[in-house]
Amino acid sequence: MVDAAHRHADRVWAARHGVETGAALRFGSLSRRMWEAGAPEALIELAARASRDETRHAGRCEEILRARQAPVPPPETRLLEYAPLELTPAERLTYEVVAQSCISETESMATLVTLLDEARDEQLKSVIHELARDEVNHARIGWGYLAWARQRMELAFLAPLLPLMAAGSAGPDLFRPAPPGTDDPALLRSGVVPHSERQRIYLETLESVVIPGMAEHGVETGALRAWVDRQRAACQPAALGA
Amino acid sequence: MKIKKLFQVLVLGGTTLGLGVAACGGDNGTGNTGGQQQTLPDGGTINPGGGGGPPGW
Repeated sequence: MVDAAHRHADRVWAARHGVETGAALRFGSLSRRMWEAGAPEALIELAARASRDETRHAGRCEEILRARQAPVPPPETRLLEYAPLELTPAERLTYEVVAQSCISETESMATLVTLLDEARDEQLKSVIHELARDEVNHARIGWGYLAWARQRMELAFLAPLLPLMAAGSAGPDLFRPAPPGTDDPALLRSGVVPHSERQRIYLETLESVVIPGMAEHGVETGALRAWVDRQRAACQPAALGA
Repeated sequence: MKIKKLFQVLVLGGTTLGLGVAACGGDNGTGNTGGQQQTLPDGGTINPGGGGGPPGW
């Protein structure tokens, strides 16, 4: 692998360390807030367990960074929340659960599934398998919460906010042209999905999982579909396999 | 696993969790938070309030 791709893989694993430590804090908070809201015990317990899982996952990222002789960044120590402040408390909790589990964790599962298919190195394969096993439940928390919440509150407020969640989870660079070293197919052997493949997976997951999931729970998806169409138009058609 | 299969595994699997068990929590005004393990942030809570979402893998 050329230096630029190697450095990119180091940066991705460092970013994942931050993702995992941040998610540990968020799931701890969501577990407490779901309990206060009267959510089903199974979801509360899964969120508390997810918090512990994410701390362990950060440790796995750290192990991989050390094996790559790459620096390990400091953990995220801030509890990051994203819900618009004008929402009611119940809506803000729902926003945070949906953004975390229905969008971010669901997208992460698609990435992990792709990496699991491609991994050759036994240590990397073992780590990815461990993470994928846990992330299934992390994503289910959100879909389960929606099923419970829709019986108690109107979920229509989510519809115009879904593109914000999708854009936030994608990050500012995913739908921009690939920087040097980020689209090398050899990255898959380092546990990193090449840039154009990430674009394709992200949009396919929104279309095949998130949008039908929202529709299943009665949330209107026109705004999110339009966002997907805009991102696809911004990408090179060849890169998306269209 | 194909990405489309995730709908069944995640969405339908999660929905079953949300509907299949009785609620147990609820704020009773005692400050009891259900004994859940908490990971406390030492950098405070940050919410710029503009929407968005947490990054994933």
